[in-house]
Amino acid sequence: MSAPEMPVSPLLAVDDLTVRYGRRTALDHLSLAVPAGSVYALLGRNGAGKSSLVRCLLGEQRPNTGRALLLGRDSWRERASILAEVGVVPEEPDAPPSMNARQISRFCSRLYPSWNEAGVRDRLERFGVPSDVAFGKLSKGQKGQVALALALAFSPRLLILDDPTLGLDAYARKTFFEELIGELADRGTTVFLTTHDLAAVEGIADRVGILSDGKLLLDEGMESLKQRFRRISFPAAAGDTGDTAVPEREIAALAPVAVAARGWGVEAVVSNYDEERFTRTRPAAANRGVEISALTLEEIFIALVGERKGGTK
Amino acid sequence: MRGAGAVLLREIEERWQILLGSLFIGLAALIAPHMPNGIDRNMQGDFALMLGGIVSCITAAILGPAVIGRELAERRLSFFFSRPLSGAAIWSGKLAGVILLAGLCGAVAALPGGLIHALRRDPVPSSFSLSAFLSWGLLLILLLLCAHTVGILLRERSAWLLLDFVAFCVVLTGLFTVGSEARQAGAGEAFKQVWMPALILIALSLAGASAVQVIRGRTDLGRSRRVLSWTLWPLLLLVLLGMNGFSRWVLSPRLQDLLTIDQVMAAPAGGRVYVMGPVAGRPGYRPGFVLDARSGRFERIRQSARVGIPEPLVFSGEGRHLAFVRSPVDGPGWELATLDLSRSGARPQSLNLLSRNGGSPLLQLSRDGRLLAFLNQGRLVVRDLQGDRLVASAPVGDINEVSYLVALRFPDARHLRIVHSDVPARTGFNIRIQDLDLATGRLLPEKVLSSGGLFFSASPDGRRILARTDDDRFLALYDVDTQGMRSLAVTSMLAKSSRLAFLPDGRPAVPILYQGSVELWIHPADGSGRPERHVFPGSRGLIVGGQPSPGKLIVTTGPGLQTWLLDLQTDQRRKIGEGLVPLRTDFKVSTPEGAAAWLFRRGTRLIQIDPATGRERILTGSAREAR
Repeated sequence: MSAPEMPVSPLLAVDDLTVRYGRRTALDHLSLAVPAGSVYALLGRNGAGKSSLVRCLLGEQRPNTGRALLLGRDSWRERASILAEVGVVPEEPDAPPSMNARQISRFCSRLYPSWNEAGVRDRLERFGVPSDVAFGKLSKGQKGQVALALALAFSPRLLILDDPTLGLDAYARKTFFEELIGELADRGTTVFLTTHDLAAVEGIADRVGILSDGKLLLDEGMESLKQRFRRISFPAAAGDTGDTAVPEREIAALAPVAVAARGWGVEAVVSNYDEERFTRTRPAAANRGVEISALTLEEIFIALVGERKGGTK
Repeated sequence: MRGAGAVLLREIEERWQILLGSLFIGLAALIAPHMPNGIDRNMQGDFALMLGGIVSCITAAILGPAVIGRELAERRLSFFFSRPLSGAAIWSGKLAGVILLAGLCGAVAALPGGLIHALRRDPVPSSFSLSAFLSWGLLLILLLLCAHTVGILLRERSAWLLLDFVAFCVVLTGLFTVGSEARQAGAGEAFKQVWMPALILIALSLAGASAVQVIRGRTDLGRSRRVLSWTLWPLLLLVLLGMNGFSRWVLSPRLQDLLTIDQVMAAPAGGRVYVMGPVAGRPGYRPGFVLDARSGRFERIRQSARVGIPEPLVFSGEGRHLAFVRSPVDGPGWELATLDLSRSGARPQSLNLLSRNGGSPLLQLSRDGRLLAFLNQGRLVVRDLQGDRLVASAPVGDINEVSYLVALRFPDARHLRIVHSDVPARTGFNIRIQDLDLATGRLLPEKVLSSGGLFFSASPDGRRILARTDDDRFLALYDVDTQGMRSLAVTSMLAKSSRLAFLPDGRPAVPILYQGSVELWIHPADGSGRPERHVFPGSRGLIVGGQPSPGKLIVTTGPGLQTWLLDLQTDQRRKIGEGLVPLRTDFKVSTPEGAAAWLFRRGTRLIQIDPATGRERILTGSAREAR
């Protein structure tokens, strides 16, 4: 993993952050930075440490070492003042169950100097969420939409979304991300989100981090990430005796992050794809039916995390 | 403040419906007078207040664990923590909201009954007062905070709960011990003044711990309860230490702290003095001090918890034993205790003689301190303290057990004598004398002296009595054994503001007012012959203070309370003090230098005077304020 590229003035930064729960290390000397105006997607399997990181960022969890900075300020020490400029959509929307969206919005309006109550109302109407139904009686998707409407109501400089579409149906996910995209297009808000919905973030994130066992496996721009990851399929060649053979030496030379045996041959994922180098060797490879294809973010994630877990060698 | 206010408003908005429930409950005050066996209409206001108090307390107890603990357990507290709200604002807003709500519930529940009460123009209910209101407020806060704390501790079940339980037991035991010690020392009243501040400190500890729990623990239940435990128990232990320190201070007054003297008694020998009275800064606490006047060392003993009523206390003749009456720790009545003064550091021992009712008994110790006699509720009892056995117990009839109308004396080793004034008879008063045979436990035949006055003075051995003759014309000396009587003086000549006394050498000393001056007539011990006469020109009263030697007397004359050392042979007198009130002729102690000194009072202080030098020494109270 390459060292994170530290922007000049990141709106969100994590510096040597470690969180332990007893003997278990949830975050292990983690460092990352999210530059202003970017959309950062933090990916990771369950238990990778994403929620611990978000809790640290929101000042709900005190790290054992290091610090989490939002807007350049320590989020444990200056949580309350920071959150006046940071919108949050939690994993489990958690408003008081007896309050309806209108009451919640009115409560929040007393806390933020630039609260846009009409904006909340408009968004909820767009989502089709009734504003006079108690929060506890809303569906999970509706709760998430209320949370997003509240998070956007004061034009935050930074949005932190903690797996906001977890458990939502396809339509709810779509409307959620559409609203988010609209906000990004409108105001260029910096976004930090953790999610399992890789397909959705692939279209909006311009930087990706992959967390595994509390460590950052990868922290890089979406474009460069997708450029350097390729799937290379090696069909099995028939030998003199009629057996099929895999060009093991050739595959090993590519230093793949994942290799999988298929019925028709071998599939390798490489993280250092260099088109020029491959072009030089292509004629020979092409003769043998070798195919090179781009990967989706989800495929890259599975290749990397699966390789770490030892599942898809 | 804005954040806390917003949270407070939200709490009330969320739960305002319980006000309707409280109003509904409050209607009970309207129905109560009309129910069978219902309350009196005049009590409707009090009933409404009681209802309000109960409703508010129940509300606080129910909402206490719900307001933060439940949200924490259900992971809903992060709604507040993901807003620009400080932990302090969340904590204060939520708890203030609930306290306000509980208070409002109480007010609403009291409203219907209170309204009817007001419309009837009835006087303000007796249970309504500022102190009751403040106590109610404190109770609400305590209930809420306790409920909140218990709620947090119980929601996260772990080994910590065991530690919390241990800490709780330690604090509770500590508080109980402190209170119990104070009660046992008779300082329960003085200690009451600290309970309210202690409750406030406990409430502050609970509040501080819950604030730190919310501010530092934030949205994590496990961390919250750890923070709560780590903060709460040290704070409560500090409160406990503070109370313990206060208790130590209350229970360790010095002689200098005595504000005044309720009771003073000197041992006939050995130089011990018992003194009791209220002490500075400890209202209601009246410790007794047994002082060794020579060394200045003293020991505190618990005696009476009854304000202003000195309990009987008596030294043995050899001055090595002390017996006294004290209030039981665990209830009303009295019990008997002794203190062995011959053993350094000895503690008072209860004799397990206890009564739950009736006035205190009269006490007497035999000269050697072996026998303790006490008279209580018409029964005369003698116990052998060394053998711990009952020597005698005999009914003595209806005796007015006021200490100055009864005297118990050991005239010899075989008898206990009781001398008492009879209740007023139509023709005068009777002084009744009866002996208890200690060998048989039987009462001997009673002797009756007719007297013209209620009061008498018995000699230390009880063999002679100074009393008025039955026609009230003379002061006479009665010999109990022979029943002989000698007139000492015409009663109309007895000086007022004076005190009859038997001198330590056994001679009766009688102050007489003659030709405008007080004369001290000292008669022979059997009353025969002419008295020695010592005239104090210009004085109006006289008290004999002591007899340093057979030929010398300490007397105090008034006006001006001049104290003199009188030479009985030469009639010369030397002034040794001023403004001093003598106590008793046998209140003799030793100075640090080993000289004999007598006890006096000056204002609220106890003073000893060495008659040889006239040197004063202040034994109690502040020396600075003595003069």
